[in-house]
Amino acid sequence: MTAALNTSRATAVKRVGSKAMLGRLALLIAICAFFALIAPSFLAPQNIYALLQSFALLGLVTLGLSLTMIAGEFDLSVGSMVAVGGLLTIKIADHGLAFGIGAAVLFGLAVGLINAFICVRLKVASLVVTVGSMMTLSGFAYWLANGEVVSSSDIDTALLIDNPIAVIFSLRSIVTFGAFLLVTLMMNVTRAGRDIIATGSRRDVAAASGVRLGLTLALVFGLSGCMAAFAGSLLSISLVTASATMGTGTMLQAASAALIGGVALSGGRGRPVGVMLGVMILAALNNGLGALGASAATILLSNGLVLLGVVLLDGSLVADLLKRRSTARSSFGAGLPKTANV
Amino acid sequence: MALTIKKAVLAVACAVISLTSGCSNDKDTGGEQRKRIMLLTVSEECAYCSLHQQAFRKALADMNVDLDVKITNFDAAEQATQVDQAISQRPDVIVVWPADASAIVPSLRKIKLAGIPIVVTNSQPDRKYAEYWDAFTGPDDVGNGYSAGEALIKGFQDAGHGTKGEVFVIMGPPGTPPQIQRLQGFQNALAKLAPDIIIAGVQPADWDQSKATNAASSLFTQFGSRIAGVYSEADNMMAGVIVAAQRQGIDPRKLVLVGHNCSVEGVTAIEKGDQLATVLQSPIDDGKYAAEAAIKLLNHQPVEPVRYLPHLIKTKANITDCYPAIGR
Repeated sequence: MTAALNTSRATAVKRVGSKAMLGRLALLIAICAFFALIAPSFLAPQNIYALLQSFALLGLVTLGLSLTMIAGEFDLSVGSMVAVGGLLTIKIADHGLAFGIGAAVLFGLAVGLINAFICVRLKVASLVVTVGSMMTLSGFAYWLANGEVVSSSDIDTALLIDNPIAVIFSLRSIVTFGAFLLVTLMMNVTRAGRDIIATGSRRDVAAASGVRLGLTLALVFGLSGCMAAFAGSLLSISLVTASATMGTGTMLQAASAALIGGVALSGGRGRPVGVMLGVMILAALNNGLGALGASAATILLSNGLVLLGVVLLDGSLVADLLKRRSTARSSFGAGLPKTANV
Repeated sequence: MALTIKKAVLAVACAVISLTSGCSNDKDTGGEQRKRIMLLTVSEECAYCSLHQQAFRKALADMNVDLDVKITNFDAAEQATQVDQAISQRPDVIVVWPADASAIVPSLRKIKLAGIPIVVTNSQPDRKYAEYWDAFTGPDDVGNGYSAGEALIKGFQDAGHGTKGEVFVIMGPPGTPPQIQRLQGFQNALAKLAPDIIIAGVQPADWDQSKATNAASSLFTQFGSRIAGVYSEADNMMAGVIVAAQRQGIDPRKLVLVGHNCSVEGVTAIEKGDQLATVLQSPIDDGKYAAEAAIKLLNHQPVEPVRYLPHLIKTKANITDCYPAIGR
């Protein structure tokens, strides 16, 4: 009976999730159509390239952050990690760019694992732990920069990673799409993916079912750190510059994109494809408004309004659909159980 | 469900239409194909940046050209994306105020490769990349610092210190071109004209008044009455220095205080007598010079590769010259 109920609930959630995802896709298409109508250059291939360049940076950071959110945690340190990743890359690039990128990614992994260790072993809330690591990383970034703008003269590599591929892509955006593909596979095919969702849904039940909570949290925080540092690496190579403040504003944008993409702050809900749509929605909105010459304040305001609109609509939509389904099933004596993560 | 999605789409469309109604797209919708200039500029929050943009617009007002403006809040990554977008919109000239003078270089090269003429305004990237832009207009920060040094030396002499004594410097964000170059110009002036005026200490305050107050407090505490003058790389930071001096019981009028850029804080302090001098760096001229260079490029006229703003010393006697720079 319980198994039947769970299966029924899972099917219901999946259907609701699919409809919500279609809603996001519709929103993205609507935004693109709207801007295409009033700004003819919006659909120009070079502008799509510009849009995907925004996606390249924000996408990587959001993907990592969303994994921690799906697992019911939050990594506030991703913005500072972008700055540190960029600085490490440029500082070490003299010994070879690969060393620079490698050092940044390993550093991101190490910080992520430390965050997870403190959360799991010392039982400190991730918000508290990552506030600490955010501030520590920010201080470390200023120490690395040593009060200077750290720059490189390797403009050729900068152009190489941003060089248009098939008109609208670049190496950077392809890497980000690749990361989304890998994480989608991980979430859908591997046990680690199922463990992440289970950890974020009902941690006690997950632990009782044999989910390795410590390992799962180490994985999500490690990936979050890696991806933020890697995003910083690629950004610094692209700009031939790194600074202690570069990319620090991406944390809020990434959180917004993840929420727009359907990731629940309470954990247990969220899919990479939704996150990708969330990032695309923000990138398209900002790009379109930019094409119209909107001010920074207008762009920020629109981001906030879209976030509020999507989250409110999504919340009421999901609740409404589940309620309807529940009522329908109640009439047959098989109501859906209440859950904390829907 | 379908109705809900439709409602959502409609709501977003309505929001976007209303939000963009005040956008800065100055296009003439009818008539022949007009030339188009795109200005990629920085924050609207800073008074200087805002006046620069206003002056730029004003200079183009009667020129029969369209102007598109893209703004970033000193975010180099966002500006790089704006450049990509600007290239896709194919304007006739692009004018860029770099959010970061180093990070803009790859973008400048992209614009150059796209064959779009380009003017760099306000912040000059490293001159070794000068082949990537057609013209630079903006402040000569070495000259600015040098003029500040001259003003300080004259103030020393007028105050009876001769050409001997100790000063400290409050500077902008370390490593940025204005910080480096203004300090270099100031040091050059002292070394050449009054080598016995010693810089006892230098502290950064990142163009921030409260940080300048803290930095100056520690320097006043460290050097006390030995300090006879202060050079601040911006007037708003000098306002912080004056607060710090007053808190420590030091009369700012007895110090030789020289600031920079004729901001409203500097003008007020000079009129009040708390600050001796400032060096005029007019945002109005800064914006106007950039617009003039863009017009020349638009009309295929020869353009000066570098056009610096004059860096004139302003004291109480001629402080009204600063009024246009602060919108009075």
